This record gives sequence, C-alpha cells and structure tokens, in this order.
Amino acid sequence: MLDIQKLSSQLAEVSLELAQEATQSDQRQEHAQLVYEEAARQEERLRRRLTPEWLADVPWQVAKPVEPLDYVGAPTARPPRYSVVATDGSQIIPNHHEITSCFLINVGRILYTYGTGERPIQDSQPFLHREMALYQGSTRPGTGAEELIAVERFLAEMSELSKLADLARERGHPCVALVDGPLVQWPLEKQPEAFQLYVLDEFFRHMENLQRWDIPVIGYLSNSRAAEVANMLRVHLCPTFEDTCAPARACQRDPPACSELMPLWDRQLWVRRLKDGERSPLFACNARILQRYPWPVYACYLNTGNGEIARLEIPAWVANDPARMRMVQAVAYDQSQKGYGYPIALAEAHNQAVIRREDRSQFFALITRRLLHKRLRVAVSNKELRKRRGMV
Amino acid sequence: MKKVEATAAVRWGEVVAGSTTMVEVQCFPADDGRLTLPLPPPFGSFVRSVSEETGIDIFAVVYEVLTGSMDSTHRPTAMNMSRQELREHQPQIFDLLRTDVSCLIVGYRQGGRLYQYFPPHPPQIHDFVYACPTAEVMAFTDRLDFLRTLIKATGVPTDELVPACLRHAGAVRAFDRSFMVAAGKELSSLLKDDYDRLMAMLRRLRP
Repeated sequence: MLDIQKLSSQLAEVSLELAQEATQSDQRQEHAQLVYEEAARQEERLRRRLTPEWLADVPWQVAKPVEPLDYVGAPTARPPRYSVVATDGSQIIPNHHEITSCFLINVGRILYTYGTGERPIQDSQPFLHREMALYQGSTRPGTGAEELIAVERFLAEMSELSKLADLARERGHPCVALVDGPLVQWPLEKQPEAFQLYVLDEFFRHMENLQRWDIPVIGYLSNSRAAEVANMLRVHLCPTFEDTCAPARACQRDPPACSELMPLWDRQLWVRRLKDGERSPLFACNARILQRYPWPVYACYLNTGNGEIARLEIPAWVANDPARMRMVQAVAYDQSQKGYGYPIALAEAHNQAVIRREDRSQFFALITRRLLHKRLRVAVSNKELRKRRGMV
Repeated sequence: MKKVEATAAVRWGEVVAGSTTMVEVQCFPADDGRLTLPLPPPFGSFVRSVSEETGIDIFAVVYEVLTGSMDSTHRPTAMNMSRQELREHQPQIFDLLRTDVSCLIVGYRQGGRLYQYFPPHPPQIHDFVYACPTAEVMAFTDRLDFLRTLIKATGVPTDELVPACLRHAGAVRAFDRSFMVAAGKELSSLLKDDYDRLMAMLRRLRP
C-alpha cells in the first residue's frame, strides 16, 4: 500500500525541482531555436561536417538533413477517399510464479476507410507461444524474455499490418499504413547478429509487401525522445571542428561547448517553428542498426495540431517521392485530428489489443484447465498465492 | 431493421441475459453493411425468442432500450457532427456502440400452442430474437390474459407500457372497435381499485 502522508513532503520537494527544470528547459528550447536558425544560415558549413569521416568519432547519432534546414512543409489536403491500416500489440509475459511458461501476444488490427461508408475492420488476433521458442533465434545467454517478446510482438504487428494492407488494397482507395513506434529497430543493436538477421529479414519482407502494393508506411512516434537533430546542432556548435582538417579526436573541454543545449529532444525544436499540419524538413536517420537495412530511413516532425510534435519515421521509397510524402503528411495529420491528438487508427488498435485483468485471469484459467485435462502437474507458486490473498 | 412484414419474422438480436420474467437482447448491426446504429423494435412491441434447445418460443414486450459503449474503454462523447459527418470522419464508432433491449416475458409457444403465462424455462443466452410479424401479434393478443403480467410488473414503466403494447395489438387490427373495447374492459377489471391509473392508461390507448 502507498502511504500518501509520507509521500506528501517528498512530493513538494520534487515538484519544486520540476518547476525549476521546466523554466530551464524553456530557456534551453529558446536558445536551441536560435542555434537552429544559425545552423540554417550556415548550412554549407554544417553539411561539410556531416560526412562519415567527420562524424567517425562523434559518440552520438547525428541526423543529416536531406532538405534545407529552413524548409517547412505546408499542410497538404488529404485524399477525399482513403484507407488507413494500423496495428498495435500487447502481451502476457511468462511468469515463473504462474502455472506455465507460455506467453501470449495480442495484436489489435484496424482498417478504416474514409469517405465511402465502408465498414471498418477493428478486431484483435491472439498468438500463443511457448516460452522456449523465444530463445531459438537468440544465442546470447541472459537476454531477457521481455525484450525478446517485444521483438516477437513487433513482428506480429508487422505481419498483421501487411495482411490488413492486402485487404485495404482490395478496397481500391489510396492507403497509408501506420506503425506504432519506430521503423529504426535500434533495440536490436544489443542482440547477436544471427538474431538481428532473423528479425530484420521478416520485417523487411512485410515492408516489401507494402512497397509492392504502393501503400506508404510510416512509424508514428508520440512524445519521441529522439535527439538526432539536437545532436546535429551539437556538431554545428563544436568549436574543435576545423573546416579543413580531420575532426578533433576527443573533446578537450569540460564541459564540452555543445553541452549547453542538453538535454534537448528533437521535437522541442519544432514547437515554435511549425504551425498546425506543417512538417519539418526530412532528415536521414543514422542508427547503427540501419547498416543492416537495405534502404535508408528518414524522419521528420509534424505538428499534429493538438499541441504535439510527432516524429514520423519514413522508408526511403516514401520519403523520396514528393506525392507519397504529401499523402503521409496529410493522413498523419488527419488521423491525429480524428483522434483528438493521436491517430485514431493507432489509438483504436491499442484499444483492441489491450488485455484486461479479467482476460489475463481467464487466459491462465483456460491453460490450467487444458493442462489438467492432459494430466499435467499444475501449480502456482506460494509467492503468487500469497500475493493474491493476504491473511489477517 | 427491415420493415416488419405480415408473415416474415425479422431477426434483429440475440439474448445476452435471460430470466424467468425478462430477457435482455443485444441488437445486431444493420445487415446491409451500412454505417448506422441498429434500430431496435419499438417500445411496447412484441418480440419472440427462439430456443432451439428447449423448443420453446418465448413472447415478450419491449420496455427499455439502452445504447452505450461496447466496452469499458470507450465512453460516448459529444462530437458535434451530423450523422453523415460521423460516417465520413469517425466510421469506427458505429461498431463500438451497442444497443440492448429489455423485454418483459408475457407468454410462450410450444408445440403450436400459445400460453399467456411464464414459460417453464427462461430464454437461453444466444437465442435469436425476432420481431413478431402482424399475424403473430394478432394470434398472441387474441386473449388478453398477459395484461395482468404487464400491469403487475415492477421496475417497469407500466403506465406507459400497457397502452403502448395495446396500441401495437390494435394497429394490427386497424384499431378494430370491438378489440379496443375488449382491451378497455380488461384494463378496467384489472384496475378496478385504481381509477386514476385506469383513466391515464385509457387516454393513452388512442392511436
């Protein structure tokens, strides 16, 4: 139980600190704004610094602009008829105190078509796996089951997204596919190569389907903590870079000159720069895992019109085509409007995926019944039993 | 819901809760795939549930209709949009809402015979429910013993329900005078101790 009384004095202290931090953050944002404008004015100089040789020793991921830094993408009109497909997943992770080591992934599936009166598809698809199956691809000992399940969940989401896109194709209207979260699968960087390849192969297969059917796909990130553009500004600020010689091997300053900007998230850079429905220039993403991708991934920021700057991650075949870019920008904005701040298709995919407490108990009850039927030993650990019912 | 015809019964819902005295029915969405909210049978009209397992058809009268969220996640919220705008911009809401209809059991049919008292078994969950076509309403309301069940029901807007139900029974007979007089007499006998209530119901009998 939470003792609120004991908490209250700590709350007062923490809230004071938070208020101070907020003020500092506002000042930093304003400063970052000026730095960004300066970088835009000296874009040639910055671009010379953003080459692989120059960046070899930079310890953070740095975005590279592919459109002028002062570019602002005007809002675009959404097609009068369009479909959107989206998926989101949730899971019941294996619990060693529970009766069995199975895990379940539940994928919420959405296909909405606008302007035609066609019936929406909104349902969920569960996938039951044995825990052991998780470790087959991963040779790295000690990798947490939760991380591996997150990967399996992502693949299940992508696979269902591809199936929905196929259904949307039959409806015959322009369609956009929304992925909940990043296209850049940076958490995989920690995994062994064989596992990375297994996951990415399957991911690319689904992405290729979408491309073959000409269904532009974006990763939608709300409240993103990406700082690649912020890091680009740090490169701009660095006094030790020389325009004509190799970059400094290490920063001699303490603290480094560029740290005055930090902490700063990319999205904070656009709060004042973008009006409703406008997007930032495109940047090339630079995560290490992208070296394994057959195509580059780009990102831009969109003012969703509800006081939020969303990050969109976009594969090259969409980003390189102005018509497709206009389409994803319009649909991402329209979806956020319809969802009052967050794309309605992603929000509803989440709602479809949610596993409620009662569903969870029912899931374990069903498994117990099946196991008993097969005369297998069924036991819940004492710890779990005590957690469920206290004694007085 | 399609127009109720004289002979064909329209299947509009499914039993989601049933007891000896009442049945709760969830409406099906429009079967032509249109984005619209289900239109339940009107207040006071006759419906029939069909139980394949017990072989009993149960007759009931609609007394309450409730539309709300399908689950605990969604809450109906004003969107300031016309029906057409909702279809255009928020097509998902139609499937996220459900309409439940509560009906009071007034009798049953077994082996081709009609009975105007409670059935031996309640309706079963997932039994289909039909709107009674004209012929069935006429056959069932040939006797008026079921009025006592309606009038004695508790937690039900009886003073509105009884006249509404009799208006439906009258309508299938083109408000035939002798039927309406018989209904009035039955009511006055049932409500001989409550003149005000009787008059309130009689006034509501007019089509």
